[in-house]
Amino acid sequence: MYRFAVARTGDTHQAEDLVQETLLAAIRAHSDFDGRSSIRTWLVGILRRKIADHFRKTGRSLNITERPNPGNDLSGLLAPQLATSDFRSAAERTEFREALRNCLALMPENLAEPLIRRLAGDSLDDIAVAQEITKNNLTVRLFRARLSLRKCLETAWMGISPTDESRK
Amino acid sequence: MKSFWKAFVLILTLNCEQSARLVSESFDRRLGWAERMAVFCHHRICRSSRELAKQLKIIQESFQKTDTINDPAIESGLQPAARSRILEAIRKHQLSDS
Repeated sequence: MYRFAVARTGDTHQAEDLVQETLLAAIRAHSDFDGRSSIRTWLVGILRRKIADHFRKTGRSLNITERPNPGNDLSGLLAPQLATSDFRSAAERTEFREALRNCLALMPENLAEPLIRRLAGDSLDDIAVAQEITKNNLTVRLFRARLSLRKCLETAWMGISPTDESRK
Repeated sequence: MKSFWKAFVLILTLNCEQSARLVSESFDRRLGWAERMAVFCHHRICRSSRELAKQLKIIQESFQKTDTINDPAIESGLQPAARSRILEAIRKHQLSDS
């Protein structure tokens, strides 16, 4: 949970506070836990809401024009609008990390969590077991997460609005 | 011979989505030679897929550079001081409830 919170907020102290708030909320709401999902999934769900509240309070949602949530149609995610040289120079700026975290924070949990765990070095097997999905399903989720993350960075952080895209 | 034909068909039929998926999988496992060859050939003829692959790689690399994710202190979880602070908060909460 701590690692998840750090990856999403980029702030260790804030992550500690969020873990604390999550555990307290879980104790208060323990009667709501119906055992249909694992306790870990339930706790991460609470943590995710706490992280979203944190972003709302601090106004850090930036100018995200669309939630990084790919549907079944991936065609819009496969063609970059931004030149790789521009993308690379943006990635060298410190704000890029912030944008990465913001995009991850807004991504649906079923995509963001596997990606965060994978980037933290967890094996595919471990993540698949934790997510209760097959390894093949996990690679599809990682694929969608990476595509939507790239698109989010392009549209939200790099200032390419949908209007700009249609003009190209 | 059968695997050769399978590889041949993969190289000829790989589309943009399949190419992008293989690029994503290459961050998680070593691709087979036919898969690598298919991606290579697709990238020779498709600029979009080539650019997409480069940008996905840039994102992957910038995550690896991000100290917070690979920081051993974070990897090891909550520090003892933070752990005690959280336990103390939970104890206080339980006392106030009882």
